[in-house]
Amino acid sequence: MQASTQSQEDAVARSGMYRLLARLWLREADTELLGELRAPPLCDCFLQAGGVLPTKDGAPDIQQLAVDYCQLFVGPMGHLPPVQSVWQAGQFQSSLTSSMQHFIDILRYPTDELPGGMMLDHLGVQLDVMAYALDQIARRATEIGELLAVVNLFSSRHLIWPSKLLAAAEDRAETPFYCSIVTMTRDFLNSETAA
Amino acid sequence: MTNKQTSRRAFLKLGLAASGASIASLSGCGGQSQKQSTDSQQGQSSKSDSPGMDLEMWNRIKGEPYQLGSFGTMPGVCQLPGPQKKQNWPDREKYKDTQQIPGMCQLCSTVCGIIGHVKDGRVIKLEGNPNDPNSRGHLCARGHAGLNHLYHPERLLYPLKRVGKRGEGKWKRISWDEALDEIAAKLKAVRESGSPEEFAFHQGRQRSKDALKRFLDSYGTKTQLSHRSLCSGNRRAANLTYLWESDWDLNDVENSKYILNFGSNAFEAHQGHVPFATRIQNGRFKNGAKLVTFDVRLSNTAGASDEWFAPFPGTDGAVALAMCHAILAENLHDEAFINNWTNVTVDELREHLKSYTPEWAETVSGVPQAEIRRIAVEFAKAAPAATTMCNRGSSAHINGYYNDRAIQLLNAVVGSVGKKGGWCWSPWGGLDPIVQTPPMPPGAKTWSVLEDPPEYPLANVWRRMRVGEIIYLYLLQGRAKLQAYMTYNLDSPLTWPEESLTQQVLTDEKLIEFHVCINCFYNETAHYADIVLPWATYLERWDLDARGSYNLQPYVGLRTPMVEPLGESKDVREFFPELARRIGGGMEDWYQEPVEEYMEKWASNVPENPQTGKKGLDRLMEEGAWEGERAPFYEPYNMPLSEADMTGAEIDSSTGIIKSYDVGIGIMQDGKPVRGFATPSRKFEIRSLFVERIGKNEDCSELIAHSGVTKTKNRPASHQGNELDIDPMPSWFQPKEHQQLADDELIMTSFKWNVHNHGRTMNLKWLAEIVHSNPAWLNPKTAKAHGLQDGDWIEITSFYSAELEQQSPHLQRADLPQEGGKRVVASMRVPIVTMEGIHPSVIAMSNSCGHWQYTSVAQARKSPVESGHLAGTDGETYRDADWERNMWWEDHSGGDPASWKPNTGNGWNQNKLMPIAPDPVTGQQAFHDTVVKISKVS
Ligand code: SF4
Repeated sequence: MQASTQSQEDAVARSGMYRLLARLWLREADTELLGELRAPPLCDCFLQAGGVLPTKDGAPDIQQLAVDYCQLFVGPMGHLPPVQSVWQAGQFQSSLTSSMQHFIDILRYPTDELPGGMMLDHLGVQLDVMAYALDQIARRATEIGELLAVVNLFSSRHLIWPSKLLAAAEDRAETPFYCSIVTMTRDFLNSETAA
Repeated sequence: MTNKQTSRRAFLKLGLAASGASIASLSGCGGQSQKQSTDSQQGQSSKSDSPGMDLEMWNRIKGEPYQLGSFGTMPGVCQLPGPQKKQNWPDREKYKDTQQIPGMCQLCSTVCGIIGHVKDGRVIKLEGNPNDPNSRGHLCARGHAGLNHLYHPERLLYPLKRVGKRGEGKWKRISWDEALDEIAAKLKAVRESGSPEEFAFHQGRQRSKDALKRFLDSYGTKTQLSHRSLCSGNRRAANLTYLWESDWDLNDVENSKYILNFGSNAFEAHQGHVPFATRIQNGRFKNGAKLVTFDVRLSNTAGASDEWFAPFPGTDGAVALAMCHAILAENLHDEAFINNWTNVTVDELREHLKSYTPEWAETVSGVPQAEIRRIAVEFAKAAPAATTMCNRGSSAHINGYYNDRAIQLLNAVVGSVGKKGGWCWSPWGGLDPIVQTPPMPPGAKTWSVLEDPPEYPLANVWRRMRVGEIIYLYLLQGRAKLQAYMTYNLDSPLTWPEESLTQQVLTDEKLIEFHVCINCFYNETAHYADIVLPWATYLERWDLDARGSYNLQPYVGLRTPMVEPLGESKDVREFFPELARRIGGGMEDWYQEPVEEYMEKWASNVPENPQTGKKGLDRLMEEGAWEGERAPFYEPYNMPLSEADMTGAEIDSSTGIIKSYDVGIGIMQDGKPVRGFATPSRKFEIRSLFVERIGKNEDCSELIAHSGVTKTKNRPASHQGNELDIDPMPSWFQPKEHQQLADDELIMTSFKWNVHNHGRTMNLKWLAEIVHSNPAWLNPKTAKAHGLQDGDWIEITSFYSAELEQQSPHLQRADLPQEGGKRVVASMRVPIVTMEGIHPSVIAMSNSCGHWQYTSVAQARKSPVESGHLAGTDGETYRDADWERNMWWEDHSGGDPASWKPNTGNGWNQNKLMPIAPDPVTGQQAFHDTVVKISKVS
């Protein structure tokens, strides 16, 4: 199968979006990330896509965001681990983790830059695997049929699940920034399904 | 154009901007494309240079069907046990081709050998390791539930730093580097302040003794606090008075004919639980042993015994002494053993026991004198294959030290001490001494009142038993202060007496300046920490470990990581060296090698298995445990001394004691030199001169030197002024408040279930499903007298001990309310269940329940949400199908007794009612003596 220029461009854009979301889910926002989100050209696009940026005056924002990220996704208790096994098997490291490992092996996705101890079925990793796969598609002019099949299957196995997580997180987020990230993730994933 | 399309377009635009913007902060995502391009341009070989995907793997598996409806799995991926697979049980395919990795359970202190079946990098099943000589391949329910512990969705996975006020519950994630830098800076400052003892390490259950000792000794603090006084201080002290060389009796029940159990619930919760319980049953069913239990409550052990008696609380010692009296009266005693191997004569013993008649015992215990005599006679006739056993049921009392001394005396009277089937011990309390840790730092020399309270004479003289339950009180009283406090696997607010005092002190930053909590879960202790470090579970870390084995031989077991620690959790073996390097000042010199190399050195003396050719750590990695070929430790006192032993030795003509360089090594018996007991008299010391003198702060150097037991110490000068009369003979007294128990008063006792430990298992769903609540047990007669019926709610009010008010004035707190001239500890409302299986003067509640932190399961909340956000919208949050189907015990009453349904909720923390009540001799917490009043909640 041959990729058209249009679909390659599309893949680049989708990959970029998945990667940005991956970053936002994998770690707390830091000054560097906020700085980049506030600078053009990202700033306008981010706001147009529904993102809300914290006010500009610095350190307390970061602390507040870190606390919000922590109570939402890290714990220590009553939080919402953004990990597929937890939502579908009630524990960490279920068969879904092994399924992720198989996809990672098939796609040759490099895991060495992931934050230490990251679980493979963490939503951030899943978004990044998708970004990586789309990037592969965007780079190739030919032979993308099998890759597309893997991407579609991956998406159906590992990117449909978070709807409940996202609904709960949207409800519990205490900062407009994280609330908007959660909403953006939900809307983007929905748009992917619809597209 | 629809909104959706607009959004889609906005997302693609943002995506394009993000991909073109080369965002530096995107690094840290695994598949970051910028890095890949750079690598490719530079011609470096990396995984991502390959053509995008593994087509061979894909083609191999893509055609196979996916299963399990809505969220199928990859083919070949093994399901974990759990809701999805129960329809497919037993799944014989599941354990095919698993990797089997040995380890050791740590859900209680018994440390049974286990095997983890690992597939796809996940532990999918735990089972017993038949190579473990002590547990012999058996596991209890807790052991199997280790999977819940390992993969719990609310496990701590990252270091956390407190953001709000202490105890407010507001946190942020920090990196290990940040956490360790901050902790090291504080510990360094404490050390430089010249008061290193103001850094206290406080452990709950620990099985990495070498790692903790290395850290604390190299740092230079001896303030290592434990929970021993909540557990076994009295039994250990009583054993030491007789033996000196061991604080732990290992009853040879498998070879017994008669097992006399005073208050031990070995079938549910003993330190030797599974190995001991299986041997008791072997003794009964293979050897015809009779099991007789004295317990105020019909525990599962009592219920499975041949006979059960319910004595009045704390009177076990009285019954035991009366039995000794009866045996001597019937001349069924072992005259030779008493005269030759104890330091009293039969006549002296008769004289001492004269007043402890069965008739007298009946008046205090309520057990009929005829039954006391009958059991005593049966026991004596079965000797020497007869043994007593006891544990917290007899020990955790204000008079617990005396109870246990009296119970152990029975074995000497019938001559079953050290005999096959009798009351045995071994000098190897843990690992076979063949294995030696790499060089350890010299012991720290500091002193702290928290670690060595002067009021408790036997708390530290033989072993460091310590008196854990007083530390928060002493901090409050200003008797000590802590600049830094590191807690480890500890849940003091839940498992220690006086919950409110514990919380008050843990919250106060003046009393505890800095608190680091190391744990696998966010528990009630972590809630009051400044930094929480996520601890690796026992299935993810290294140890060599063993318990005193019921084979009476030492062994070596291995705990090894079955899988990588989840998230960023780490064991202390991993991060203590990092802390030491940051603290510096020579501490770092004690951390020379990485963990695995350290383990290799430690295990290097484990000999080769001739069948496999493997030795040392390799052998343990394959077999999980190794037991040497020593003979079981029967009658060690009769072991002959060799000619080499006798070279240069001197024999005291009056006592027969053999000394080498003024240190006792044996005793002459029938003209032959034998080992004897490791006591100053080389005999089983029924009369303990040592305790009598040490109680009065007298110098015991000579006695200690003669014993040759180097661990035994005099009391330090700081104990002067804290003298206590300790009876040198086994005797018994009854606490004042029990002598004067009013008609409307009851004595509260607590217990453990077979599926729980004290504070660490209520979060495990398989176990919580079985036991999750703890209504109070009342005898129907008692209930009737109070106008109560099953399911009624009562208010319990607990009081301080009148005995301790007198004996231990340093415990007094004037700030507490009084009721009828008695100081009140706390009140609590609970429902009751009535049953015959409890003494009418007793009210019982199990512990383990009533968590207010420690995961949603432990709190019996289906939803993992604490705030009201999702009230009534459970479907919005994550669900575990096991909870969905099985957590019928969620309590919807909102605390209203009228709408509470039996068997719902997570129970109540019974320790809230307990006063701090240390036995004045050893400091063991008297968990079973508290006087309470109850009234019906209308
Ligand atoms: S008795 Fe049970 S909980 Fe204790 S170590 Fe053995 S298997 Fe684990």
